[in-house]
Amino acid sequence: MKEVIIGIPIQWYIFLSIALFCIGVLGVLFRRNAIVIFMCIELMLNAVNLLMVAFSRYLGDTGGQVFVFFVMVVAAAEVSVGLAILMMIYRNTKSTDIDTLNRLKW
Amino acid sequence: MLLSQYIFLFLSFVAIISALMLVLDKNPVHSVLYLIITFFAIAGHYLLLNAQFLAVVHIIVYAGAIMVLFLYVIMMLNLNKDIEPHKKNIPKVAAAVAAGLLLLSLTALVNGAEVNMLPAARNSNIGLMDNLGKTLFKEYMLPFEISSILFLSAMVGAVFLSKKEIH
Amino acid sequence: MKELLLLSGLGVLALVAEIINARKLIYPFVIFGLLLNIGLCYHDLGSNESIYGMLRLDNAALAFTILFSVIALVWFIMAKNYFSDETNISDHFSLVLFSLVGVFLLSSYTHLSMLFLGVEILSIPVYILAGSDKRNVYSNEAAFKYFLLGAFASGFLLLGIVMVYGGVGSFYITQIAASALLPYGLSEKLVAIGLVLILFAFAFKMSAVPFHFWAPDVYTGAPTSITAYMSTIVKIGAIAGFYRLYVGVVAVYAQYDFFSSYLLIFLIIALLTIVVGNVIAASQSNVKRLLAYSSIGHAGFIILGIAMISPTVNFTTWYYLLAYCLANILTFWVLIIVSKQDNAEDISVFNGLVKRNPILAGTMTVGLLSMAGIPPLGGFFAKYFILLDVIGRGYMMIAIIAILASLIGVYYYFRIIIAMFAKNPIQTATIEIGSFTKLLMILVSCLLLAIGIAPEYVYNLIF
Repeated sequence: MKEVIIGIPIQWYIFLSIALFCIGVLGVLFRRNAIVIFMCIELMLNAVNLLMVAFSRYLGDTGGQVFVFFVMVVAAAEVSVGLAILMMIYRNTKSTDIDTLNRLKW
Repeated sequence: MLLSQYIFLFLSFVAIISALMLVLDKNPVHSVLYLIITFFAIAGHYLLLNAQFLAVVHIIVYAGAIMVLFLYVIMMLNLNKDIEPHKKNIPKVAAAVAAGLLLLSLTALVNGAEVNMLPAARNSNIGLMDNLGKTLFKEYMLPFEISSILFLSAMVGAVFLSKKEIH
Repeated sequence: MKELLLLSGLGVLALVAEIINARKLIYPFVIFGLLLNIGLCYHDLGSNESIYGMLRLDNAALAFTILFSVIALVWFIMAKNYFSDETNISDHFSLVLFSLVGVFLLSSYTHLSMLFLGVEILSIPVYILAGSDKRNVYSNEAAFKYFLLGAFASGFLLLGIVMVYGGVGSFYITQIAASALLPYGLSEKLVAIGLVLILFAFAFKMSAVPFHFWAPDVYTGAPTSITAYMSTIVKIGAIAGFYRLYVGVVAVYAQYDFFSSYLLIFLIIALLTIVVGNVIAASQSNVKRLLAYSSIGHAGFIILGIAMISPTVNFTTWYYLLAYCLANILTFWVLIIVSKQDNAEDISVFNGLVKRNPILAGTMTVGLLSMAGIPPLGGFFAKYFILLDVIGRGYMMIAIIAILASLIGVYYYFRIIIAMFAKNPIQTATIEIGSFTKLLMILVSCLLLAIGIAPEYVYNLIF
């Protein structure tokens, strides 16, 4: 499978990851629904994971792929906490639109 | 063009289009489904990069666990309809401009960056479970143990936030 | 290793105590454990222990550990009321203790995975603690905002880490630093962008301008004890992490082109933080919000000190944090007692405090004077050391702007002091506090005075 990494320049992976990351950033800024914003943050983390695996492959170092496990761990922990916070808010306000959460001004 | 390049372009196309649809679609359930498509495309990239074990874990953890949790919350809060209120355009344009600027500046900054590879280190088997396990349980022993604290605190926190108060 | 086991063990112990119905025991155990931790760190000074190659307990790491243990100790004494609710007591204790593990990781990491896990272990419990007043919508909102922006920032942190990894081919900060001197396998562009992204993520955690906008909201919405926690311990963690990366890695790249632009970026961030924090604080009437903005201003001073990379940077940073955190906890302590009595957080609740309880007024005055930088309190020398470094590097203008901005600080701190001493109280009922609390308040005030009178003694004790 050596052809694969010779065939695809690492630049392509860098640009793809940056594009996915920026789409995630766009979503965080663009959307007002808290759940969709969480999903966009997941997308950002995944863009980073993809780049991590690509670098790990091109550098021939397993460390990058192991790091991806830790990113997954953190993503799972963050999601569980984030959704718990969201449930708590929904119980009090019956909405997950972040514009209703403006009692404290930004 | 090589076959692998065609596969790369196809997977990237799928990933970027579904990521964009995730952002642009107004229905949260559709967004979840688009995100799952993106995850599968990324798993395809992992296979292309010879990271087979990670591809499987990625599907199990993200598509299997995290997205199910999202869907579950959406169903529980009954958000599966187009409830997003209509917003003024100015913040949306500002968001698009900000993200576009970030994209431009990041691409400009990394453009021309070369990753210097050590030719001898090019081992195509690094993605196998054998190698990953050895690294994880030798070199990365401490982070592995420490992540249990992270999980424990997340678990305590999630239970604490969602349990009903008894008064 | 002992410190790590002790801190995480305490957290688990707090959870076990709930099961075996020994909730009353948690508090004394935690106090004892933190004292033990201070003792262990003091004993280990100079040992330079390496834990699995992922953490290194050098003197700076141990000094930061001693610092946050002391501050956590004072915080636990201060926040006794926060732990009075029996139903959630072990959750609260374990979350606070787990986040202390995160601070420990951030002050001693040598591998970027520990940096990432440290940031997350520090943040995730604090997201929850910020929302721990579950019925209060403001608290909910604070938790939500902090969570959302924190997760967003960790995305950038990760992007930075992966760029550095791609550029150097390793996560070890010793190797990243070594590749600056021996640039084989180094892609300068990737390292430059990666390091700046990581530093920006830290700037967010430190609430530096322009990444500060979350801080006043979150600080105002969270329960006051947790606000005190966030503006002290969480800040120590973020600054320790920033310090380790900036002094250990970025400074080694001094001969590269991108370093001078880094220095410029961080000088600008530091100045903006000092100026914006102090100017906006001057226009606040809610004391909690005022303290939030003033804590932003103090973060600016610390970043300025770190950016200078003088030979004594570890001591100046450490000393500033010590003086700032002690003073901050004192003011929050008084604020909690006063605002609980009057159910308001406006400056006017402090009107005529000296007639209602002279001890509270005295403690508050000591805390505020130290933060304003009035000699001979600790805060004065903290600012003095940093400004000395800045002038020593020849940045006269920056020193002058920083001094002018902290003069604005003097104005709003004195507004509270004048309210306490010169105005007539709105409510005349005296505020009763226990004699033990009184004693501890006087003790902490004396500590703040003592570190101001004898900074060289503190220096010899730790460094």
